[in-house]
This record gives sequence, C-alpha cells and structure tokens, in this order.
Amino acid sequence: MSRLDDIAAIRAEFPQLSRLIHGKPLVYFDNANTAQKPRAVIDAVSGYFTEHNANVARAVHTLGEEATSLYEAARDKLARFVGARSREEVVFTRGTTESVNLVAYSFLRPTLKPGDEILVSRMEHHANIVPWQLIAAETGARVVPAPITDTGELDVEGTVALMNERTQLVGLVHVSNALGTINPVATIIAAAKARGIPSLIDGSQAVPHFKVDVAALDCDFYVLTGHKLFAPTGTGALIAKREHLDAMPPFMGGGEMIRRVSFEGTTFNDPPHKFEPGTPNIAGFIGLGAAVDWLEAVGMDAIAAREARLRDTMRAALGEVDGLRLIGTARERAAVFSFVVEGAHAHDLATLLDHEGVAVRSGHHCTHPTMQFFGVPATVRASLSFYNTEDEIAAFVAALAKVRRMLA
Amino acid sequence: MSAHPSTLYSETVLAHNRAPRHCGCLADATHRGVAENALCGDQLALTLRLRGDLIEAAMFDGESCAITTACASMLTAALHGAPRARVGELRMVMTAMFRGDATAPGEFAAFAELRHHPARQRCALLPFDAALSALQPKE
Ligand SMILES: Cc1ncc(COP(=O)(O)O)c(C=O)c1O
Repeated sequence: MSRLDDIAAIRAEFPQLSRLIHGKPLVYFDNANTAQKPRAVIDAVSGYFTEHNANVARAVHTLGEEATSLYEAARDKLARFVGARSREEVVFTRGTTESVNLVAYSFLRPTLKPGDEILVSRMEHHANIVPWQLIAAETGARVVPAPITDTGELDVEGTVALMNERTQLVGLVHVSNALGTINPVATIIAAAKARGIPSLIDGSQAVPHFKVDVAALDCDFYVLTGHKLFAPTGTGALIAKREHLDAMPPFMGGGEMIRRVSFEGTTFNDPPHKFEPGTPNIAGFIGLGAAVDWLEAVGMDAIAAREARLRDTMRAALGEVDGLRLIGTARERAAVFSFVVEGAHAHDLATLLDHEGVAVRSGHHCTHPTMQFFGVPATVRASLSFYNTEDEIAAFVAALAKVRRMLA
Repeated sequence: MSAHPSTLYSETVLAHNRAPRHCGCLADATHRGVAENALCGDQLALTLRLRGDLIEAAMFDGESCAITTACASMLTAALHGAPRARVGELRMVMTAMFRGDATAPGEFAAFAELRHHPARQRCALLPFDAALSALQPKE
C-alpha cells in the first residue's frame, strides 16, 4: 500500500495541477524543466515568513534560533535523502549551475595546467560544460567530449579510453535532461577512481525520480538543484568529499563564511559554511527540507515504480504516432522523452499543445552538443512525474494528433 | 476541423507555411544575410538582388517554424520592388504591433496575436533580421 495508490489525493496536494489552461485541464509534462510544488512546501515557505522570519547563524533571539534550526534541519534532511556521509559534506548553493561553478573555480582551477583535460560527456547540460570551458580557456586546459551512441547512451568503453594522466576531472550527467538516458555512473566513477581522477555527477534529473546514495556511488562531487526536486527555485546543493571541502579555497567571500576577519588576514569557517557566504535563501531551503520530507513519506521506491509504468505507457503511446522520431532510445531511461515530428516544428507543436492545455518544452534544452550529435536544431520534450496519469498521456496523444492536423 | 482558440495560427499564417513563396536562394543575389534564433536554433538565410537602393528580388532559405516561415514568405513578397529602407520600417511597425501600439500593413497584421506570445516574437522578427544583416555594409 502506497500513498500513490490514491493518485487523486496526491494530485490534490499540488494546487497547480488543478489549473485550467485555455479552458482545458492542465497536463503538466514539463517536469524536467521544473517540478510543481506540493502544499507542504508552499506552507513551509510561507510559514517561515509568517512565523519565524529572521536571519540565520547570527541572531541569538528566538526567531533567529528558529530560523537557524529550520535552515540547518533542511541540511540534515537533504544529507539523509541523498545518502551523504555527513551533513558537513552538503553545501547549499543556488542550484546545479552554481554547484558546478563552485567546483570549477575552487577545486579545479587552482591546479589546472596547460594540456590538462576535463572529460565530460556529449550529453551534458550546458551547466556541466561551460564552467569547464571558462577555466580551461584561462589555464590552457582542454574540455574533451566523451562519446555517446546513436541510441543516446554513453559509450562506456570509449569514455574510459579517454581517461589518461592528463585528465583532471570526469563529469557526467546521472540522468540526461535531453534524452532521458540513465547513465551507468557507478561504472564511470569507479573507472575514474581507479586512475586517480576525481568525478562530478550532475544529479539534477536523478534525485526527483529514484533513490540516490551518494556515499555508495563514491563520487567526489554530486550536484543537484532544488526546483526540479519539488522545492523553490534558487536552492541546490553540492555534496562533496570532506577532504576536498577542507582543501578548497572559498568560492566567494563575505559574512557567514569566516571565523575571524582582520586586515592582517582572515580565517575561514569550516565546511559547509566556508562556501555559503552572505544571507542565504532561507525560506527556499526550508522549502527544500519540506520537499525531501514529503518525498520520503511517499517513498522514492514507490515513486520510481509508478514512474516506470508511466514511462512504459508513454513510450508505447509515442510509438504509435506516425512520423514521430524519438531522440534518445536508451534501454535504461527515465520518463523523459524528446522527439521530433515530421512536417511540424518543435515550437509550433509546443505553442499549439499549450492551447490544448498541455505544457511541454521545445528547444535545445540547454544541450547544444547533444542536439548537434542527433542533427536536430530542436525537439519537443515531454517529461513526466509521479503525479501524472495515464489519462493525461491519452489527452497528450490526442492533442498531438489534433495540432498536427492543423499544421498539415 | 473546429475553430482554434488561438488566432496566432490563423489561416493566413498556416497557408503561407504550407506553401511559402520565394523559398530558395537567388542565383544572382547581390546581398546575403543570415539570422539565428537562439531559443530554437533555427537559421534563416535571405538573399536579395538590389539595383541601386531598390530591391528587385528576395528569397529565403532554411527550416523554421510556421511563424518564421510564414513571415519570411510575406516579407520576401513585400520586398519585391521596395526601397531597401522598407525592411527597417516594417520591422519597426512589427515591434510596435507587439507592444499594442500599431497594426502592421496587409498580411503582416496576422501576427498581431504575438503580443500575447512574447517567447515567439523573435520567430517573426527572424526574417527581418536576416534581411537587415544582408543589407549591412560588409568589409
Ligand atoms: C541535467 C541538468 N543539469 C543542470 C541543470 C541546471 O540547473 P539549474 O538551472 O537549476 O542550475 C539542469 C536544468 O536545467 C539539468 O537538467
């Protein structure tokens, strides 16, 4: 018995899902872009403002103590949720993008030399490409693309073959936002580790869908973003091995991240606070804590099982559509589907689907190199979450048929 | 087929998209320009043949969405025999229309609904930008 068995009750906890769009029930298939928020998260955020509003880690009054303990409790919750070795290994950031930049600038750049290599796959989000390119351009290092196959899977052998004594870091997306592929991250992390190469896994699209155990994966860095995890925007985390956090210089300076400041020299706070300068997005992280609580109460295994059924239904339904080509047909995949349709441009489809109440994303999904590999400028992407239903898949397919007739 | 709630994909736009005019490249072009839509990666190339300041012929090339294709089809038609300044003038009227301050002439009025689709306005401006890039003095 899972709470997901009563899907109507679950959906009722997400107020946005009952909206009408152009007079039609919203079918929200843009979860890979950002997820909707349950009432528990919305209430936690507004509860902070209505009852506890105060700054963290500096006020000794009651409100300050409350805000600090709620904020730090969110760190404990996230640490447990992703299987971090300790709460000190969880650095709060504004999201995946900031987490990757933090690693690029504080961990890698100080030691990067001309000729060094940073190996990232051809299916990375720009957030796991561009920061590396920036520090590579400054230091004379090189960003090397790891190969993928025509099915949108990582070419594991080809990737391992590119690891060498010049490789300073391996970056890999856990679940591709553009293709839906679930990557064999444990294999790549182990191969990198065997060669003494640190690894960074982009878990943005993994943590919302299945249980992740960062300690078991044993990667050096795991990054995630809160808004795809049913939490507010402007929240995210870097989970990093303590030895790295101890050795890394701060990314940004300011209050909160220091122990003692003088003009002769400043000593820094311990991790994770060393990497959290200034007043953070307190309400947002309290919301992130609430999101994690909510997900654990429902159960990540139940969520994964339901999404696997939705994925299979969606895959079969898309297979029935004439002239539709799936971009990414990996065996191990999430309920994220990119596709192109003969004779209909992705943007036209997305705009017209919106008029039918269906929210999908169209474009390049911040993965230009992936799109170039498949030779398409843009795709339509339908990304599902546990709160979606088989009825919505049917409504989506009917809407797709209707808008195609319009464009024909 | 039932009437669609959106007037963005009007019969005018859909008809141009199905059978765009002046599609291809002018063999005897004097000017050539390209514009790209960062949002979707669409690229549109425009070729023009000018005599003095007069545009004698215009054609467009590229795979693009219905909005871009229809607008490129209309623009290439509108530019035949027009002075080169017409491109900038028309573009200005289009952006004014997107703010609700003007109505574009002739078939271009079909894009008035873009006022409510800010994310798609760039699609209709792409052919104008390709034309402006073609007309820009080159080194
Ligand atoms: C795989 C992946 N990595 C990174 C990001 C960037 O996340 P954010 O914009 O929240 O930093 C996204 C989301 O757009 C993503 O899907």
